[in-house]
Amino acid sequence: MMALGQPVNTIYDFSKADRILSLDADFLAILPGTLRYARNFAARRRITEGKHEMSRLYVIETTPTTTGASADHQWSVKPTEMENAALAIATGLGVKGVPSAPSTSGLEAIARDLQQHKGASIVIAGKEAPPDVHALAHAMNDALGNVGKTVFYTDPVEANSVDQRQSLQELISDIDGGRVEMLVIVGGNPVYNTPADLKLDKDRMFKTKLRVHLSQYRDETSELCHWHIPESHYLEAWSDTRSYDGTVTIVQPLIEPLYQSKSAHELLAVFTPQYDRKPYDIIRDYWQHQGQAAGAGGSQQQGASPVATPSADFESWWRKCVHDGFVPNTALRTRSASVNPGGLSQPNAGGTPAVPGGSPTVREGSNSGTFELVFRTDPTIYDGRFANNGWLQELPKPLSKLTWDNAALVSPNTAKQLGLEKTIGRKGGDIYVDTLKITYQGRTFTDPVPTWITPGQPDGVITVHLGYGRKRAGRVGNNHGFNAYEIRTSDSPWSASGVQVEKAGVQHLLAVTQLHFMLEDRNFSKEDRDVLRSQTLEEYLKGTPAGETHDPPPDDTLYHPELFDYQNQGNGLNYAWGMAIDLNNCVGCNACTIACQSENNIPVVGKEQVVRSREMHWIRVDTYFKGEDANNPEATNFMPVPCMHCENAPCEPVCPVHATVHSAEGLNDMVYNRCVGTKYCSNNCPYKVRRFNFFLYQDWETPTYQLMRNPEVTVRSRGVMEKCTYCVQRIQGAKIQSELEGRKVRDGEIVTACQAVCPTEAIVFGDVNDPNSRVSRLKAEQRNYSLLAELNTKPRTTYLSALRNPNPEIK
Amino acid sequence: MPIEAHNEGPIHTTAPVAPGLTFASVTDKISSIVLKRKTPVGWFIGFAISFVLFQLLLLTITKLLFEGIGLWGVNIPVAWGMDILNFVWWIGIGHAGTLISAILLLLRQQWRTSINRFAEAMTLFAVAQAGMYPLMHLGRPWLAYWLFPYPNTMGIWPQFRSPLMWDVFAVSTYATVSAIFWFVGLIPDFATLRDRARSKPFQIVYGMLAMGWRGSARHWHRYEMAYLLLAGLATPLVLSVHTIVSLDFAVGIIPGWHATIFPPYFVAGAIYAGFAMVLLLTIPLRKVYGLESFITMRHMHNMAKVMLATGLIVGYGYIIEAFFGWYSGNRYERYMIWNRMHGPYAYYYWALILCNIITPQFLWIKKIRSNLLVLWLISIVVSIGMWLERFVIVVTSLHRDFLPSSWGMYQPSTWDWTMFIGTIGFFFTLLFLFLRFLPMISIFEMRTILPGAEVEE
Repeated sequence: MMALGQPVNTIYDFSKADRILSLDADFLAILPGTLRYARNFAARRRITEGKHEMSRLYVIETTPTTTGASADHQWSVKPTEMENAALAIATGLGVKGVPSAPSTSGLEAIARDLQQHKGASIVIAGKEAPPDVHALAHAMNDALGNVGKTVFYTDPVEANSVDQRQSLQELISDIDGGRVEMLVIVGGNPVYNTPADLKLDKDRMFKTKLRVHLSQYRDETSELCHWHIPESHYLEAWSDTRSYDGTVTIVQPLIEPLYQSKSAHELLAVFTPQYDRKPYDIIRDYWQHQGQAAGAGGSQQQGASPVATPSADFESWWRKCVHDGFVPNTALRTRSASVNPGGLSQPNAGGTPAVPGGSPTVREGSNSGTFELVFRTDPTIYDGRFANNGWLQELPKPLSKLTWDNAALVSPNTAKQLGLEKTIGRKGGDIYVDTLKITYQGRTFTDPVPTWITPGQPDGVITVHLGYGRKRAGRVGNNHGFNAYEIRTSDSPWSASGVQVEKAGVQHLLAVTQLHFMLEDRNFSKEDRDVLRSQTLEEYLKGTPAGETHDPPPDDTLYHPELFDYQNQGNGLNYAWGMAIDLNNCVGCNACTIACQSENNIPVVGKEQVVRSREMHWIRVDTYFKGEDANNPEATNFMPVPCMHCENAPCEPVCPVHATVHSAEGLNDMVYNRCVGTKYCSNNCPYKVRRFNFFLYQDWETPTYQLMRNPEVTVRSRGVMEKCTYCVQRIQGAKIQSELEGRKVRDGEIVTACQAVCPTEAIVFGDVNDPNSRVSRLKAEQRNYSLLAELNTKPRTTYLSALRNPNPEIK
Repeated sequence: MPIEAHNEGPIHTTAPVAPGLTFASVTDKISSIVLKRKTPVGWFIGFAISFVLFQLLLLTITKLLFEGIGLWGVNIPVAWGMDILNFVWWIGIGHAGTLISAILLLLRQQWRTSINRFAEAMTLFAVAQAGMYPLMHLGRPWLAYWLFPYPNTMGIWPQFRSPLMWDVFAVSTYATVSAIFWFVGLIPDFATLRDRARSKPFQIVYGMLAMGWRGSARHWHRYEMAYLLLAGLATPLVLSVHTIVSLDFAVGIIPGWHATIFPPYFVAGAIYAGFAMVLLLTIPLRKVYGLESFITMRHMHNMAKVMLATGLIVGYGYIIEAFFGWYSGNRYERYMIWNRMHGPYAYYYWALILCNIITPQFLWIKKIRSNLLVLWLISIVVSIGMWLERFVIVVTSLHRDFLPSSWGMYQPSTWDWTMFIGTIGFFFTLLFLFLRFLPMISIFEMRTILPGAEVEE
């Protein structure tokens, strides 16, 4: 806004970007257009089938994110240093009218590299970055000639774009002034998440005479309202919405509301003369009216592009839109925006950013005891709205693998400085961490804040995630973590400096799914376990192997060789299912884990069970930090680990009751009703992908859970082992369909749940007996390798090594 | 065989029995414990304590059946914990009995006679405890019968490639043969008790158990043959049971399990643990019941020597394990050994070395072997050491295997301990009942080794 003078919406085309500079933008995880961005970004970096060019991503960020983990160069800076870094690069790019800032060789190299890719680069600033950085990003894109090529401006997507902070301020002052008689809260949970200085607290709430809250949950706000109106879920009610580029979607409900609930449309209709209209009529009438208005040449919505609805044949147009899921040609038209970087403040007193080219050091002395604080939405439960969602609570955070809690992220150096330690407990998933007392502008967190030592966190910066500390979230979400809104003020919503930090005496128990060990057994030998292979693009193009090669051992076996012949199954079809996971494309978003949980009726077990290392996820995403220095990891890589479906599966011969057996198509099948629960298979699985029902984790009673479950998949009972099946129900479905049609299953016809949601198409499943299938072609790549190949398990799931495309100028 | 009078010490340290015993006095002395003597107060106290602990076992099993094995500390990756390690521990203890009865019988080691009945009983009771664990550690114990090969409508056999399947055969065979061997050995004594019992119920019960034994020459002829055959049958079982138990681990691919030395090393360990337990129980018993003339110092010395020998084999096992961890050049094996010595469970490993390798070295010294208190303490230490050995093998191998991302930790829960303490309670409950109602020393066999039984040739 500062740069462009008016509210605009910026959208990016990562499929055309060869060089990307992210200034604190977690564009692979939390922007409205994230899924599209991630897919386009991955497409530009896919090195398969002879392609040998990939984009290069620079990330300068104030707290490590999955986007930073996907970068070729990542630097952590303090929030106060971010603007200087941006200024230095902008100067290097020759942006006019900006104050010059001290640069470093690294920043200069970035600038040179961007300059060499004019029109094919993107500079993107995160939504949490201050306005100055946004202004600089726009100016840089302008200077690079990216606008109109990779960066596009449109009118805002919101119907009525206002400064929300100001709007909240007005409301609060109206309430304080006693000018509000009736407060209708449509959605949201302001009592919980309004900024500390504009808190809609109990006193303020009670100043209004009638309070009404429409919400899916009876939460902190509902508690203080006279009326709580249960809100229909978006899968239960008709609605409409716009996507990140403005494309309109008609939201079609999947089921009748389960409970007696109302949608926002119904609530708002109460205030109109036609108070009892149904949401369907409201939506349909709106779009019919919209069409007529468009026909008359006017637009109903300010700033939005007119929607061309043929008023003549509305019915068929409407049916088509509902069927397709979107209204065609409703993306907002791009517009020009003039960039005016003037008015930028002078470089901060923070000095040269301690990054690109510089050595990161803890700057003690100048402000010892005071820290900078970064606020972020939580990677799993976002701003707290998903706090009562067990799937998301138990989903490990991408970098820390923490579940059911938030923690203040600190760098290893800062932890040392503050004397913070973590102790691995003895139950399997329990880590005891030291806690902090954090004070900002006189406000202190009520509870001691648990800390998490995070590689790549900038020194002297503490990151806290919003969304926890809920008291009235529901049975699942109550009383987990601390409430970061307690000290978050409206003038510094995303970062704050001058924060007082003090070690609190108590320790806090956190539940994690990965205890973070060194891959190299450093105390013992320098050997790498060759688990996660990564190399640079240059090495790859030269043909350097990324890991060890293992000569296949002789095929001597006491068993009948034909038992393990997947080429000739005698049914004429000879399917052999396999999976390839391209680590170069995995951005660690964890969507596969949730998709699998939903598809395969995987239970949530709760913090107490995660502490005992009994989480049930069939596909986990392992995180690996590379390098010697934990403060400054060279790279962060993710590795999704489902069942490997080994051809020589170690789990199979040890089961005394034949409960895990091989199918003719190479699946390692788990027969739940035969399993007696010896757990030997899990002990003998080198990948530890098997999960055991130590208790009756499934809720068999609650009726809504019965609706939630996939009817194609067995709901497992207590005492049985389970694991990834390659979505065998989908395989069988496709096979039945193909048999009905008298043909083979087509490549791509079977899509596993994890594959279906993967935004970057990193997971590919198919028939490895078909040399032309996508999975076969991926497995033929030089980068393809088997995890723990030396054990001769012959996994059907293989990996393609990760690649980096570093700038040779930056060492 | 004449009893040699060794010159090196007082006669009672070397003879299988003390001098001066006659057929009648032997019978009187042993049978009176069951039939005549007043039950000592200590028996009631001991039995009461054991019985209370036994209730803890029943409580744990009940809760386990209702709620699931999540009560225990097991997790992924350490899916076997106290359950399997206690199983192996108890099975190991259950090795001395059959070894003493069968192998020493075949080797004509007459000194076995004083302790074999007692050791066999101990074996049986230990196997009973051991047998409970594999059953209860199942996720769905009510389906345990699926591990048996029986014709069924499901049209499916157990998997014969699985060591757990072999376990079912090995342990159930061992339990059956041990029970039969023990019972057959008891028949002549049951007859003695039947004849000497003065109350009707005892006469009836012992009479039924004696199975019509009249002690005719034909009876004795058949009996001797049957007993010898059973001994022959039981002998390979002593080796096979623990061999197969060791294969539960050796067949797995987990570093720390996958080792060919496991079978001999486990068998030696079992005998080691078994003798430690026999000593642990015999030393107080012979004192309390005044059986010094039956169970002499020679027995103590011999058992201590067996312990020393098997302890050395076990020590060799540890050394070879560590050596091959390094010599294999396999990074996972190397890390496993390193982790045992320096990892979070290192103190278990070093305590194990102290208990099982260092402590038994004192048994080289005759003075120590002669000091019953020290001998008793050593056998406690060895029993603990053998428990630690199983902990180290089961837990430290599993908790850090191939992929560091799936490494974990293991801590037994309260219910793990109640189950373990409960089995100890059950074991002693059975033992106290045995002491009270059955002759703890074989009467008829004792008679055969008295000087009066010598046949002049």
